[in-house]
Amino acid sequence: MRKRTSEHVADRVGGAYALTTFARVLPGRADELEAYLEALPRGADSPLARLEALHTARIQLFRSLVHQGPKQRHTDVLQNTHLVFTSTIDGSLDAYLDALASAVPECDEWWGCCAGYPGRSDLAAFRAYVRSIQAAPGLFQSAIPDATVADVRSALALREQVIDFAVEAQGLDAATLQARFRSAF
Amino acid sequence: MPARRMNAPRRGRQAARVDLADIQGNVLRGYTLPAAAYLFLRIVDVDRASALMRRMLPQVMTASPWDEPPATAMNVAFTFAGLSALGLESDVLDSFPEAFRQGMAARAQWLGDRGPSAPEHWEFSGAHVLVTVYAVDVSRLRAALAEILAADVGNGVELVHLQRAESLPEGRDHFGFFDGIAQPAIAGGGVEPRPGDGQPDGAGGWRELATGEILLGYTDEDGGLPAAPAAPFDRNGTFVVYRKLAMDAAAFRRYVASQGYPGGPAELAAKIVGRWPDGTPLAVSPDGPDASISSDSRRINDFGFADDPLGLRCPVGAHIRRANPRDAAGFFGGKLTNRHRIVRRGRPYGPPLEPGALDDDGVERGLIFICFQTDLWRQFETIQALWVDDGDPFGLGRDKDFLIGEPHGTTGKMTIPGHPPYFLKPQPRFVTLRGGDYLFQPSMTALRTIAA
Repeated sequence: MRKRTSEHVADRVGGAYALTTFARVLPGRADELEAYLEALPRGADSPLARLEALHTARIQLFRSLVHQGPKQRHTDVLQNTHLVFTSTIDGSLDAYLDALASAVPECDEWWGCCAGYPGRSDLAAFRAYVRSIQAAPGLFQSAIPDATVADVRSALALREQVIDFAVEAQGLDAATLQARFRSAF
Repeated sequence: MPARRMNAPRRGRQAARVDLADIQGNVLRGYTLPAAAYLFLRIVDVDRASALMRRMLPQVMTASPWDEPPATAMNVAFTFAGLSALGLESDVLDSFPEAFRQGMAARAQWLGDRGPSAPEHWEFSGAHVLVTVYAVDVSRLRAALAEILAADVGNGVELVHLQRAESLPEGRDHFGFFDGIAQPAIAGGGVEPRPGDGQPDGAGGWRELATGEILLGYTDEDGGLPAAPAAPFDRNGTFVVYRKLAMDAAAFRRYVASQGYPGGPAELAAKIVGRWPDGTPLAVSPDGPDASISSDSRRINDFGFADDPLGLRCPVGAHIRRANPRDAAGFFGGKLTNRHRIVRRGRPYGPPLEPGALDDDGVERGLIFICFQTDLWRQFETIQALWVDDGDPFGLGRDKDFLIGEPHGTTGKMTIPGHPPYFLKPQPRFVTLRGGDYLFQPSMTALRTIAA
């Protein structure tokens, strides 16, 4: 049995929280689910782009377990295909699950292919379902644990602003450069 | 016929440890024949196409050494659609790697082939076979082409696309740079390596690249055999990348002339490329071209980037430093570059833009980029997608290769490190992809099986 957890110590690094879930895919639904996931838009059009607190998410199917080489003692066999949904988020898990339920109706498509999914209309049931399939992350690292998604976006915008300034101000003498910098920032 | 450059004499011959007669030519050692034509064909009748291949087989050039260059040389490669059209068993077809089965167009998003470089704008698609003909001069090429077009095309195959190419004087590309200098020395390939060919050996020198990085059926840099399709395609074959890259020479000249770069236009062009036009590496001679280096085949490619981590000599984002980071910081003395090497066999196409001209003359010109490798995804695609179309592996954020990367809005830039640094922004368009495909170039044994 995998360890279930609601607020395991390894779940959080700084302000970042790691959600890892394994949902058992219903018999005969895996191909349809794979085709659906394959067709989901990426980048700015991804349904997950609607979530303000989301750093990264990954949705994938585990159909079998890879043998790890000669040092592996036991052969693990996966009885059912599993849908693995992971997220790295800012803030609390409940707030994230609420946002997922309200802004990402596509959840019904992927978890709807899995055992026990209650839908999104009953928020408490939705939260309870995701918690029931949650696994403790063995190791969670965050490159920028104290920056929220909003912090990262604003830092990137500032970076672009600084670059534009540097391009524009190339070759100016020191006094003009200082004056230009003061007015720009 | 353009003269061979003094600084690129023929590489010496060595004893080979591979079966040269079973390997198609131009892979282990590049042809010196300056004129080339690329015929993309589509198989319309399998039986007649097989008969045609049987007739063509004796003309296919192998890697066996020449004493004198032949007047012409021909090679053959297939797209996945081509191998399918030939009716190979499905388990054999399924044994080919995914990138090859999908083809280049399907991988466009990952490769960065977007906007005007996207597949919907390409000049051709749906080819099955690539027949490449090289010749010692244009008239010999014309004659060979006329023969193929008259006798063979229409006889079970139809012509999808014909592309001519020809080396420019002194081995230059249309941006004016001596091209094709850096090539991996391949272990056992029978070609004497020069300093800089191959991989950094960790002791300040160079070592040959494992044969299995370029040819299937031999040990690769990981110490095993590269993943390969089923027999008879598992040995002495290689995967081919073909890309027709249009080069806007006038735009490049105008750009470097108009930037007001303190070092002047010539130095700016060199900083973007990573070499001076004569091939002198900036890593060795950052202040100007040095004929004593560029004319010496043992010095022109003998350099690394480990001693220039900030890119003060050769910018971190320079084209040649991205495409082959050698021992640059972050690549662990070459340990993270050894599985991403390719053999390049490009040829320019189109006439050169008039010297000094800054306005486009409306003539199409560019480079037919060809490279060979055993793993399209790990080698060409990794270089293109992660090193050319992205800047992250170099700590350059989203910046792309300023010379050949696909421009992306107003965010792209290049930093030329210095005191102070110099910024180029936004990234203009110098290169546009006009079409391309992934092909498999089988061994002679496999070719005979296909034709049987």
